[in-house]
Amino acid sequence: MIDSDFALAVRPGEHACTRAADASDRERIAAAFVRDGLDRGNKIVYLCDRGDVEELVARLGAHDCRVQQALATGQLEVHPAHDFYCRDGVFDPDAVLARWHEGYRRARAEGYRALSLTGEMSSALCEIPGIDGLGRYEQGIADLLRDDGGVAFLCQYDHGRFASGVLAEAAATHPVDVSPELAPIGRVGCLSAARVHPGPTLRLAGELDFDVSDTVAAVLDAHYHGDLQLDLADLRFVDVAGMRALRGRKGQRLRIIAASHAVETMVRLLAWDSDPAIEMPPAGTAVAA
Amino acid sequence: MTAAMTHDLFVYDDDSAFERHMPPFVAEGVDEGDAVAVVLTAANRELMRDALGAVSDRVTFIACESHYTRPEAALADYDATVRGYLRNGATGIRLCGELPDFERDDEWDRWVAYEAILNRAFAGYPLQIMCVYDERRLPESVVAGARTAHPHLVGDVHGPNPEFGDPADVVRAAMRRPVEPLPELTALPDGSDALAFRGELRRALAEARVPDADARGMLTAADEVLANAYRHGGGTSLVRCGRVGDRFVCEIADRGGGYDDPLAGYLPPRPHAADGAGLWVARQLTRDLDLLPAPDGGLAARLWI
Repeated sequence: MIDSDFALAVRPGEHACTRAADASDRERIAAAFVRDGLDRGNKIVYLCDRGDVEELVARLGAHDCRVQQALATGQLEVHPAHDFYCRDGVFDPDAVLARWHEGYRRARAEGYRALSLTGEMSSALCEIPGIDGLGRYEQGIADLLRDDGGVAFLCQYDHGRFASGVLAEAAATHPVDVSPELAPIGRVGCLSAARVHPGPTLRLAGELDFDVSDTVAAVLDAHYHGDLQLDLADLRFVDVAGMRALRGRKGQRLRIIAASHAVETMVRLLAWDSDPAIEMPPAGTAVAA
Repeated sequence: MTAAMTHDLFVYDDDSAFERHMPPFVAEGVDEGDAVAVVLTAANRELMRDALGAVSDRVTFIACESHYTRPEAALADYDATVRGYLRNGATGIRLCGELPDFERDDEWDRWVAYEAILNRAFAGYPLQIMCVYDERRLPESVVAGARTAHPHLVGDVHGPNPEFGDPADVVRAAMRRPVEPLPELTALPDGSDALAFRGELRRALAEARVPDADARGMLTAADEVLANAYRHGGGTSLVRCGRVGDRFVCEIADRGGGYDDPLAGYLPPRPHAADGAGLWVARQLTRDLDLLPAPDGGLAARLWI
């Protein structure tokens, strides 16, 4: 079985973090990330920061029946995070970054299209020597993504384990942030959301229908005030109720910087293209999500 | 410039009457600075150009057979055209249009309904619509239908139209069709999970080899009808779909108290309208959308692609 109810708001070439407090929220995002990597024919490296690697594999396998096969072929590798980050007992950002570069080269040589990397950042990592270099490490990832095309990197921060300063820094160093206030959107239907910097832009991916529109409207109402900038290129389905949920408060301006065909069609049918409060990308730039 | 919409009927049976009445309507619009478009047959475009002379450069000429393809599309096109003119600063708009030839009676009926719908669809816009009916070319029943759908007459007989009827009644009468039972349709899940419903419908569309663009339209249209069934109709009582001849049908019946608004889904949505755009979207994305009484008193929507 492949769990088709998970959407992913992270694209190839992006450095993303999730800071969800709830383990099941993080797991959903991680499973969607793994599935996306398998769909793309990427090599996937999963750094597991929990005691039981077997349990993680079983949980990923429950969401996607291809996981066992991918482990067997080497398309998916799961390593204990602590060992990977602290090969010599210390967290050395440069050494880890060099290992990622090497991993990318190897993945390409093995015939994979690119590399999907995700790491759980939780309990034990907080105490390892050298972890104060984490900020520099995250910065280095940005260079890696620029140099190695198509790599996607998802850092899973356990909201409960890190000091708020570290989390704020994490949010600042990751251009794509599946931030905690967006978690309710990920729990309904097949929909996912992320904040994208700079902007900030709200990105929605998946299917925005009348079943989930109230949830989206509630999140927007609670956390997004004033003008709203939206990236809707990955919204493969949207209906009238879904579009209306984006409208939020009366008079709020919408700037849609990217739109899928589904969104473009709905904008046209609803006559939003002649609404001065809504800014759209030029016609014909729609993306087939 | 006009304060509100007008919708006039001009019935004629010789070209000199056309030349006497139509070019002045168009020329007056140009004079007043209105945006002016004519949607006519080739012969009447020619008559119009000859009569207007140099003024015709300031008029948009459109072939009626390319504009009037189906009523739903014509409504959307006019709506977009009118909004475009207004956005570009027009203070008044004049349209002079005539229907092309259609083959089947049910097509003609739909255009009579369309004429009635126009009265509601563009109410409030600074828009003057002049509808041209050539009695020599058009079926008698169509001209008779048009006489119930226009509030005002132009021509040798001029003034309020005594035959004008309530647009809802005109549409209801024009769109009355026998209801086929369609036993060949197969049941889908009840749609209480919209995501799962779309998954099932996607599979059925793929199995029936419905082309991608049509399938996407059907998926969205059916979702809108499903949303209405759950938001206004107490949920579904029966959801079915399948091929009927060379077409694909999805039928969604709800548990509500029925619904009788023959104009539902025919009025272009306004940006801040609270409701009603779902059926508009569904009608735009399907070939036909029939609203029928469901066997147990609710409403059944049949979507055809």
